[in-house]
Amino acid sequence: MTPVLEVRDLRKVFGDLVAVDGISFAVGEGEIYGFLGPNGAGKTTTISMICGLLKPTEGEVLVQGLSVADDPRAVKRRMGVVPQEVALYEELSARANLEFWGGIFDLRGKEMKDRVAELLDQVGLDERASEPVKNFSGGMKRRLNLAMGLVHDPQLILLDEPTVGIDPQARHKILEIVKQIVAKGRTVLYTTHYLEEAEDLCDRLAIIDNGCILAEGSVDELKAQLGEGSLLTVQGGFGAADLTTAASGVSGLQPVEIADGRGMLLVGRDGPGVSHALEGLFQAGLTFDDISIKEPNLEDLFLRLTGRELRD
Amino acid sequence: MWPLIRKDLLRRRARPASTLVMVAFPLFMSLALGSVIGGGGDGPEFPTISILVENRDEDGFLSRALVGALSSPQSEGYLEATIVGAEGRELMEMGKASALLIIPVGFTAAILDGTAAELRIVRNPSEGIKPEIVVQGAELVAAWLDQGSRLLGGELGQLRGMIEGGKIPPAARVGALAGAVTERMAAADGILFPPVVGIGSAKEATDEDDGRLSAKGIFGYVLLMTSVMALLFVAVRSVTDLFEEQNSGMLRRQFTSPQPVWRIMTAKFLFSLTLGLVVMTILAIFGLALGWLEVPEHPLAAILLGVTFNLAACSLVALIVGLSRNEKQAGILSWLIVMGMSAMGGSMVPLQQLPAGMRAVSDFTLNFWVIDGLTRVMFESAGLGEVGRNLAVLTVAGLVLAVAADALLVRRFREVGA
Ligand SMILES: Nc1ncnc2c1ncn2[C@@H]1O[C@H](COP(=O)(O)OP(=O)(O)OP(=O)(O)O)[C@@H](O)[C@H]1O
Ligand SMILES: [Mg+2]
Repeated sequence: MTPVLEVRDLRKVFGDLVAVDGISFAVGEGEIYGFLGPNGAGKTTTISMICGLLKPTEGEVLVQGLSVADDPRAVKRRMGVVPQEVALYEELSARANLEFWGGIFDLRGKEMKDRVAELLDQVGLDERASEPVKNFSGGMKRRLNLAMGLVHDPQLILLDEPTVGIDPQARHKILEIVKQIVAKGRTVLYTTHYLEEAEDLCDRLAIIDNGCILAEGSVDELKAQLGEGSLLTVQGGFGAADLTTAASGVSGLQPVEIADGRGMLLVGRDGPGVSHALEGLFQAGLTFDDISIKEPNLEDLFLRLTGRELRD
Repeated sequence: MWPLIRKDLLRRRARPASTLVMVAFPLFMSLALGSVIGGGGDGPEFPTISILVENRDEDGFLSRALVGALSSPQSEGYLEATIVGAEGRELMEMGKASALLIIPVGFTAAILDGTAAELRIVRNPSEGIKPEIVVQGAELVAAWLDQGSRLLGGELGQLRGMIEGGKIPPAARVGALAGAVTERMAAADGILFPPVVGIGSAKEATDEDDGRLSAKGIFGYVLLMTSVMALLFVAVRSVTDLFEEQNSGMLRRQFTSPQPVWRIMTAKFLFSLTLGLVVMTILAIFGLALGWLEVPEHPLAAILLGVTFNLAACSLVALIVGLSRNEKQAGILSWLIVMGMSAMGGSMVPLQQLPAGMRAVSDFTLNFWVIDGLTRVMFESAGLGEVGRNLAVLTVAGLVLAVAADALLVRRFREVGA
């Protein structure tokens, strides 16, 4: 089956900055595909190329087999874009905004009325639908911003950080809506730099940085890249080399990320266990100020892939 | 296309201030000028008023401009201004004038500094209505100067620095100043510089039989002149809305829809045209209801002139916006062009009273073609045939400019997506 969205070797160069550096992936029907990456990773640039706002320097984008470059209007009909920056007519009501957007997608009459009413209800704005958007809170604007992209019931929805800068309650609401859309068989590309969102929402995701996909797969697959086991994090007055040497002498202990005074090590599930590992490190003469043990998450994977935290 | 036009009309309705100002401006001007010139009596003639002007602020450029405006040939016929020295009061007491206008020492400086500036008027007690007219006229000037100085504030001081410095100021400074002034104008959301030059100068000379227009005609004529200017500003406001949409991200958002860029641009153009026609209709209805205008013998000619003028106005503004590199430049350019065309095309000073030098270039303004045509249709019962040339010029200008403008707008805004 043709994927709903297929991106091949996409590249975008601005002057001497390579914003997107050869990205390829495919998303199937009913799937939420996540784009997880820090500020400046190239998420928005990729979305802009997918929706035809930006011309790729190289590569191509296919939506249900149609090329964005060759057939932009047909592709745009199948696609709903929710921009990272809220874009609404502040002086118009929520309903008028949605009706305008429906109108330019050729929705008319009763079909339009029903669709707009349904969406207002879905995003929980039906009671304030007639008020000018300028009276809305940030979270309400975000919800309307999302609804705008859904008016024409597109097959593919591109969401660029739809929850940035809002409170947990509003965020929860937006995530709920996204889940509802996908339950109806729609396909979503979801960019975020919130790890929990990506873990909670996405069927598959790509971790991107500096315009490249560093790792791709389901949340479990990605975690498995760290290895099976528990993650042991230690802090203290040791040097990186001491810890590396000490760890190599302990069976079932693998370094993940080691620096002076700080180390992250994977304690293999099939090995002798955490207490054994710690004992081994103590015996090597190391002392720690802080020790923690947890299940590995995507943050740890990101740290391992880039040597940096996801959020700065 | 309709949803695109509709949303702009709805947005205007939700924020009507700027449109209302544009409707109010010509009405206010007509009322103010009409009552100064034509009010007071219902006689068909302007009284000729003699005034004496004593300029004690001889070095100030504003006072010199004021004296110049008063004694310019355009006001000849109904206003005779004589420049006098200290002997002014004596002359008036001898019955040589209706009033004496004294421009005090430091008048220009006071206005530039934004401190109180006072024009003094001494009436001739032996005359009734005429000195009153002078007082009203002077009050109007004062109000305008006051508004101008308040609107411009600090920039006026800079302007003075440039003018009094005697040196040619660097272009960048003039540019920056023009930018600041335009910004303030924009912030005032449509408050215009009133046509100071035109004060009290609306005299109708086309009516060859008696050479004077009735008081009623004056209101209608001023309404027509100033409405044309207001409609140009309506076009500027509507077309430059593209920048507002660019800034709010809505333009970019629209580019993610299947609507091609040219259609989005054309819709903005049609919206501007529609709004212009709405404002024009409202003004016409006011004019008729107030009795300032009468339904002409050939209404179709009037309507066609109005429509083709609006078309040409929107096209011209769209062209300017399409050629500008940024919002600021578009604002300055369109403001300059609209003001220039209005000054030279008969929106500030009646065409017949324009100095010859300005009249020579009137033909290159849209204002001239519509005002000339409408004056003849409204006041001289001209029909389609007699204003055919006006209609042709406006239509051709409108269509040619529209095609060029649309292409430029597409080129100008296409990159917004990136
Ligand atoms: N129009 C442009 N011209 C030049 N550089 C650009 C342009 N757009 C983006 N960039 C650069 O490309 C890189 C990727 O930017 P992009 O907006 O795609 O990042 P992002 O992942 O969406 O980040 P954020 O989380 O902050 O939204 C950045 O370094 C950015 O400065
Ligand atoms: Mg972004």
